[in-house]
Amino acid sequence: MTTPAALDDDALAAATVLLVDDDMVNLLMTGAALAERGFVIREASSGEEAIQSLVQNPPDVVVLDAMMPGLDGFDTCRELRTLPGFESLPVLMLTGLDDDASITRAYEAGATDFFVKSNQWSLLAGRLRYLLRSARTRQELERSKAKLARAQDLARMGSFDWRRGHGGLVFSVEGLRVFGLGPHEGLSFRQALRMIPDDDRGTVLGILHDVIRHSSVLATDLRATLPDGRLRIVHVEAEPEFSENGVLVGYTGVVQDVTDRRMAEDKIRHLANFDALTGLPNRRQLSWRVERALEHGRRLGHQVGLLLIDLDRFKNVNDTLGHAAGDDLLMEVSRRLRSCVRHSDQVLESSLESMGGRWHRTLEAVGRFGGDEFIALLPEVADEGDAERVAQRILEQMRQPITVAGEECFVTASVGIALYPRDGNTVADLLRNSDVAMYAAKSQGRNAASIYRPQLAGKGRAKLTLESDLHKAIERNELVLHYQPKIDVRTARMVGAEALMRWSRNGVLVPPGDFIPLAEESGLIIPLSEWAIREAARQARLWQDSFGFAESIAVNLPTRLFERTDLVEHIHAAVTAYGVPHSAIELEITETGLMKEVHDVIKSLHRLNEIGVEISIDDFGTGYSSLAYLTTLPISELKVDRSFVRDLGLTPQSTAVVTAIIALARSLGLRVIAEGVETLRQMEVLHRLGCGLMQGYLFSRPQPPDDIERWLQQTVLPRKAPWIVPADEAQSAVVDMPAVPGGGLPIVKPRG
Amino acid sequence: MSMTPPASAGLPAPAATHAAARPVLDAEALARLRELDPTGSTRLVGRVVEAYRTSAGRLEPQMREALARGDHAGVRHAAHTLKSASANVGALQLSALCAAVETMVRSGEVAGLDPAVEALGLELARALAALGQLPEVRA
Repeated sequence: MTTPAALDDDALAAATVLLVDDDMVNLLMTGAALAERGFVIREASSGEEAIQSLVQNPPDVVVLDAMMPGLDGFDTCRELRTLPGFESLPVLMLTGLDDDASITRAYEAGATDFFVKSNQWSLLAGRLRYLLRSARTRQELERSKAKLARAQDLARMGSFDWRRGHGGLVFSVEGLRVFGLGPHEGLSFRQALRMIPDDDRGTVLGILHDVIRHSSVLATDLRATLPDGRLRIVHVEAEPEFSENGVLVGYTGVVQDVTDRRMAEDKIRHLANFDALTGLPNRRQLSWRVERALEHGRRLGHQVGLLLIDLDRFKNVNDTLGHAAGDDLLMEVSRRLRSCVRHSDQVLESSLESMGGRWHRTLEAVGRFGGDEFIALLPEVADEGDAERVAQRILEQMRQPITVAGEECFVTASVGIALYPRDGNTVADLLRNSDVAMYAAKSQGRNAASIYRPQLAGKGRAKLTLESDLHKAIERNELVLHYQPKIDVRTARMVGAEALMRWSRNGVLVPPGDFIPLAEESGLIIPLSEWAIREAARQARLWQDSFGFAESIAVNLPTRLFERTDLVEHIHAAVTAYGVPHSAIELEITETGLMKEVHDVIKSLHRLNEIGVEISIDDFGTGYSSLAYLTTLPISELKVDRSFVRDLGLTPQSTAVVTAIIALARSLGLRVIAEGVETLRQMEVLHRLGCGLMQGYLFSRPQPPDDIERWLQQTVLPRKAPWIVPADEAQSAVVDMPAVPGGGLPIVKPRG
Repeated sequence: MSMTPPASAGLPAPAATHAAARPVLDAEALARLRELDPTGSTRLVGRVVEAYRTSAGRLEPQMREALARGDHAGVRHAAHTLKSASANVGALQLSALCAAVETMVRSGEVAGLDPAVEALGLELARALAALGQLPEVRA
């Protein structure tokens, strides 16, 4: 005997047997025999007693003597079977050897088996074990059948069986439920076909014919209209069955309602292919469509048009009206763009060929490429004129104001056009070149369409990558501040420094002139300036700790930053973070910028002034300052523009202007500082005119902070620089001087 | 408790000295009964004989009364029960007589029923006497 069977028998032997016999002798002996073989024995000496006993405590098997006075074995068995829960309890009927009629009666009464009375106990025990084992198997089978039914029910799945020839299509109860039918309703092949919508029926029949002809596996989804009118999608999967001689006899398989899954899949596919905000095809879907359009164009030799549409100054809307308004605007723009092409919303992924010869037309669409960028795909254009006409239609559509957040916004767009194959063979090339063209439209004043030309490429592309790199510059720590000392030549001391931004891009310093305008244009100047303020505050602290620096570091700010209401908070946060006073930061604003937006910035200037942040007017003399305004502005310093300094002593006008600025500053009680001082001669003249604060290459070019420290240590403190004269020489020089404001020690070395 | 004779050791002395030529109790059947309680710890043989006496003491009068009433089914039922009980205790001759009575009733040959029941009664008396002589019962 194998081990598992032995284990099995051990488990079975512990079973409880209810022995029923009116003959005490038999009861005793059978009981003793079975007990010896490991069974647990309970006895009953009559049918009535047996029923009572098993209701109270159900045994695993009943051994029932057929012949008993009162309720005999047959009656007892019959009654037992009517009790709930005892329908399949194994019952062994004991009969006489010579009693065929009893055997038949035993089965009719619901006995599981019969056994001829004898004292062959081992046979009886073996028979009982067999009964118990099959009862258990049956229980397990029923349990797993119930489980399967439940699982199928949950999965909205059921099985079916189809026999060839007899028209035999038989569904399980669960299978019928899939089709909305009750357990007792039937579903013939003909009825099932009738559930399939008319349009689909032919296709389904075709598939069935094919599958049966090839005896192949069936796996298909079909639509079915259920009796209650609901349209569901049913997945059918079946395998062929063959007779012993290899003839197809039928199919067995499963049906499953996959409507919900299908809907979820459709939803997922939609999410994956369409922009959530605007409902337009997204980058993925668009790229796919462009790819297909290019394939088609390649095969049939036609051109494909790609339009990149970028909204002008969309950021302003977002910044001033908020993101919700920005979203509303994008949605309206999407609606308008959609009306400009034969937009198709179909989710396209495969099998386009089945749609007929001009299927590529269904690719035509406007999609959102991200942010405020849109793409229009024209799957077939005759020439660039076609594409331009669509571009003009788009610009025209944008002309009407869009009302968002209660305000009328005028949104314009810049459109770049690229054509396959002229401007590129791949999606990537066409995208890049439409981008270049779009950039050209923007640089020519926006609100225009521009067709790609090869000569645009170099400039636009470089600029584009520069801009995208600049985006990442802050997080990559590629930005640094260099410092140019402000010198009081009368004391030969550094009285402050101007911070100048440098960008170390891939290890190469990008000139400020190359990236500052780009930053201004793209709006990046805001985060850049905010970073500069923080960084300057940090440096002020380092210098304070290192050599007692107590002056201020001047940071250049674009005018638009002064318009921001949170500028004061930002500066406050920066200086507090590093534990330096507000006066550690000085702000420089250009004269031109200030005068252009004076209304918008004056509030900020006052608030800054109140907290101790001084304002310096940069490039002074180049703009047309309203002197009236100048007197009312809370400013502290005027910076003489370098152009006047450069020509100082060369043209009388320069000297006159500088003289005037100095006089003006003095009368307004403002400091005046000259920048771009490169020669001793310039220094001398400025000093003579009464300007003792200077900045320029003569003293130091803008340097990294560590170099500034070294410069102080090695040049300024030992008084070794050519612009520093010994005190005694300075003493004599002062004689020729006109009145020097502040009466500081003149240390300027006179020439000659 | 007395030693239980092995199954192959033949009949115990009391049965062997009985006047009748053939043994009343079948040695093999008795041996099988004893096998069910080899150590005698459950006193099975004693209990079975006790149960048999009670059962037979009830069945025999039942059979006679039924016969007197002409209730042949009653006769048959009593005979059936006594048949298997007797076989179990080794009274095979008695069991055979019970079977004969049962068959007679079933086949409707009720004419010979009276002497058959009479013979059955005599054999039952012999069997009960023999059982009374079993060491397990005397003890």
